[in-house]
Amino acid sequence: MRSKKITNLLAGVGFLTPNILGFLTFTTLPLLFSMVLAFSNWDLTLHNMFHPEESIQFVGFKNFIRLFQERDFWRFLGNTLFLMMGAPVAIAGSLFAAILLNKDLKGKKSGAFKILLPGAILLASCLLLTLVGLGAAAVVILIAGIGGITLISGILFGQTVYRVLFYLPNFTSGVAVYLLWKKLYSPQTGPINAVLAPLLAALGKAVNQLPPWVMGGLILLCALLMVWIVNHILRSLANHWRDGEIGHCALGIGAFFTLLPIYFVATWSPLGIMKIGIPAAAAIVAGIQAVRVGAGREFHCATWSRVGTAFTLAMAALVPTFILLGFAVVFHNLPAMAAAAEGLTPPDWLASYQWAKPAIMIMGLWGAIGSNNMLLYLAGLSNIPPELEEAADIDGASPFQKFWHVVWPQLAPITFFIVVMTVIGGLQGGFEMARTMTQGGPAGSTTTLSYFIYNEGFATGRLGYSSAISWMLFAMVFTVTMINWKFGSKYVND
Amino acid sequence: MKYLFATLLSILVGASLVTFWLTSERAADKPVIYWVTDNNPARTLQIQNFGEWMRKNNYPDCELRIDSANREPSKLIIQSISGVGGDVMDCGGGDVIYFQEMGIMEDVTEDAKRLGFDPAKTYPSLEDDLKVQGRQYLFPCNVSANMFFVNLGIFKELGLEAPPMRWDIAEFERRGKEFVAVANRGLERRQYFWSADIDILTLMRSFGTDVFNETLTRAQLTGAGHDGYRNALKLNKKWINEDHLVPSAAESASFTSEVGYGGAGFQLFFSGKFAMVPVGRYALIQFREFGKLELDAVEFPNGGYPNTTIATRAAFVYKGGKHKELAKYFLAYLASEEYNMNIVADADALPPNPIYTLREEYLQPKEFPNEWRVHKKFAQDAVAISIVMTKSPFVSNNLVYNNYMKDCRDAVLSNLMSPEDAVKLCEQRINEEIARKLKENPKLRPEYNRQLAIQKKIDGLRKAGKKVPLELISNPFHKKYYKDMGWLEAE
Repeated sequence: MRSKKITNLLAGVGFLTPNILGFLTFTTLPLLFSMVLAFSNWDLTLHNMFHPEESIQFVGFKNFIRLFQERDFWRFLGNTLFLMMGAPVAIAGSLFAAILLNKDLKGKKSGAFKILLPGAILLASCLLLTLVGLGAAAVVILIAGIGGITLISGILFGQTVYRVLFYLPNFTSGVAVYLLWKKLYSPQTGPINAVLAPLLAALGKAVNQLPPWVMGGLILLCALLMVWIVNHILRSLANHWRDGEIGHCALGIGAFFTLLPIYFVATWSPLGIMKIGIPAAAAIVAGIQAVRVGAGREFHCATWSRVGTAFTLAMAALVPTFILLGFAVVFHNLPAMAAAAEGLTPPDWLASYQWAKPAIMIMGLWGAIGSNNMLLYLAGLSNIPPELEEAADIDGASPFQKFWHVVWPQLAPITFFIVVMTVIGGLQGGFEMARTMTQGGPAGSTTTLSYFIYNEGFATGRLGYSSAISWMLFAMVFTVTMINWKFGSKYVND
Repeated sequence: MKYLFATLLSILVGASLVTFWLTSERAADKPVIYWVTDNNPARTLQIQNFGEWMRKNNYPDCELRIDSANREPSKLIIQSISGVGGDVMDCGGGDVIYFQEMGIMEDVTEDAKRLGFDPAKTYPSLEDDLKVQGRQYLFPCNVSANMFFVNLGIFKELGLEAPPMRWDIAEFERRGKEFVAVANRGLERRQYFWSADIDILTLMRSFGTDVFNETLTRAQLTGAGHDGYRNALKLNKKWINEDHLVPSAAESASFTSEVGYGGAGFQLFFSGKFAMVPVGRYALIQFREFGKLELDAVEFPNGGYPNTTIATRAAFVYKGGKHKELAKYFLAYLASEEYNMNIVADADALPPNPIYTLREEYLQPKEFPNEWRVHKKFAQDAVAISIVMTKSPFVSNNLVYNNYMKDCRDAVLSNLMSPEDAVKLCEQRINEEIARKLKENPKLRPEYNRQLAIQKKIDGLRKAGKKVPLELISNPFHKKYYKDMGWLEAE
């Protein structure tokens, strides 16, 4: 019996050995090596087999101190964090796609020829149009026809068709996708700007004809909405605090992030009088809530209790407030831009310092919506017990209420996992895009930390310093992940 | 299951052993040397010629093979320092200091004299790209001194006069504005440009400014008499954004233009979209595939000092290679008539040895009479006005040109900074990097201090209006500039 156990054990170890060896050789050992070298002065030009007289020296935390003093590090960290701003939208998009794809749209099955026949007629028509010189019209009809065929396919064959279409970007190799998007973003010949150019030209003409008070009114509307959101969230935070649901630190953190956009309004935005008005109004509402908080509370809890709740509420304020601020700035600048000689023109995307990062974010969104996150959500949605939704239906819940009170809590574990993985991927990513599409430019606007690590390592040979940057990145990812685990997991378990 | 595993493992081990025994190197009956280079189709003939040349000279028999998979710089570096680099490897002259510091290049100074591939066999201005501290490590595979290729056809079509060989900034602008106005008349979108790009370094140098001072101890891009870079950036911005002589980054992206071997920029030049393209003679490889365009070559516009940048794709012997002696014969082959005439025939830039540019086959290739105007000009400029890209031993060449100066140019074009501020920041970053390198590598300090003392001496002589001895100057640009300006002490 014992010998059989040992035999089985040896067989098991035998099966595992190649993988373990590979993991040790190509993952664990390089990782440990890199960690040691992050504290050294390893330089390719000095420390290699051709310089046996030079020895690698331990330099303590010098690399890390140097890193904090390097202006490029902060700039590229900012680029990385900026690119991660699309993550919540991407996650929401994945969820939305999953919800759509979870519905059974299958109609009556009446044979594949119902697709093939109109498809063949469409192709033949396009070919004829092209032959008679109406190629442009043929392309438009083809695109519309493909859309129609896609919809019909979905009805006939169910959501499988849509699931495949949504997931298709994941099958394509990264570099091929980046090169394709590079062409799509081509400022003067790319299809994106070809669609945007006439739209923006028409918008510019319309804006030029508007009386000035319209834009002023829109800016005022954005301002009022911003103040309303800030007031609503601050009041909600105050109520939670007074009810003993969140601690002091949670209140402080929540208030800080809620008011952060207001700081940007006051210090950065070019909104004229609103630069004073909005912060003043926000100060008033914050003051009112401060008075309520100052009056004390009946119910108490731990100081650090429910920071995650407060943070979530703050994000619910921060994101729309920043979006409204963006709109306000657009409304502020739009008349001047429309009145310029060239009018409103599409952006230069990857060739523009201001638009290169948003261009990469949009591309990332396109890939992320139909990604593995969507599959995870699909799996999660299919695991929700139907009785819960039926009970909600019986209780007269609206679709939104059903989603918010039944579906969303049930998806909490998956959402938690997706958020953690997305944050990790976001902080580590951006290398392939920078290398293929922009080489980190223009003027370093698309250089992320991962690209910085590669550049620093091979441009100068300072692999010790590059290792330090890598481990700094690891520390950031680890810290954020731990925060996610500490505060996020509570909601999952609840 | 374990029997299945054992069977599979045995098959795998067996297949590995068979592959190992059958690998071409073991299977070859003579030593094999690997040349890490690009996969240019011309290499086939070059390899064949190498074999014949070795036999002709009764050198040891060996086989030369291409390794184009590991040419990428990071791969080359990692493999070289790990001891598994190719026997002969290509690199740019700009990397000579970096690679020499790493120690991966074999010192071939004595072998070069013995086998006949010393710097006297190539362009004099290229010496700083081949040697470090007086020792030779590289020999050119080909040489490029950029000029403007001119599409004479488009000028004839538009009824405009072709540009002169040498011109100043004002003339360049005047003709350029005339060209774009006539060529784009009636078009909804600008499609025709004066030039595909501008060589900022050459333009800066034409104002008498270089990146570094005479002793390469610091960047000198600001201050009285050093406003060349600022001027170049201002002109670049003006020509792109105001005069539209050169496509902007957005317009270039629309063309997907990349002016290099295999780039779409050559096609655009050939179709007349660019009147001129700044490139080396190697562009003829592609032009010949497109057809027989009437071509001319002219210098870049200058702000007072005509110049061009000479560069090389060179080869070095890997210090850790198994066949170093055989690899040195390859460098000797690069200086041979067979190889040089191969380059002449292929138009793969300039041949390493300039004496072959005097041959009829070079000056007037029979099959391409449309090119006869350009060949002599390229060869002459490579000798007369070309200068290598300056490299300082105290700072990484890559950082200076590919990071700091590129960022500077982008910042100005994106309106993030004024040219003055951008240049100031660029200079500051380079000098900070020099200080950092000296701190990390204290062995450089004595030489740096020595050069600082020399710089002080030079500054004193210049201030006093006296001439400067050539041996005091390390910067190749300043060596030539001082000579041409008559500021050098008579030898």
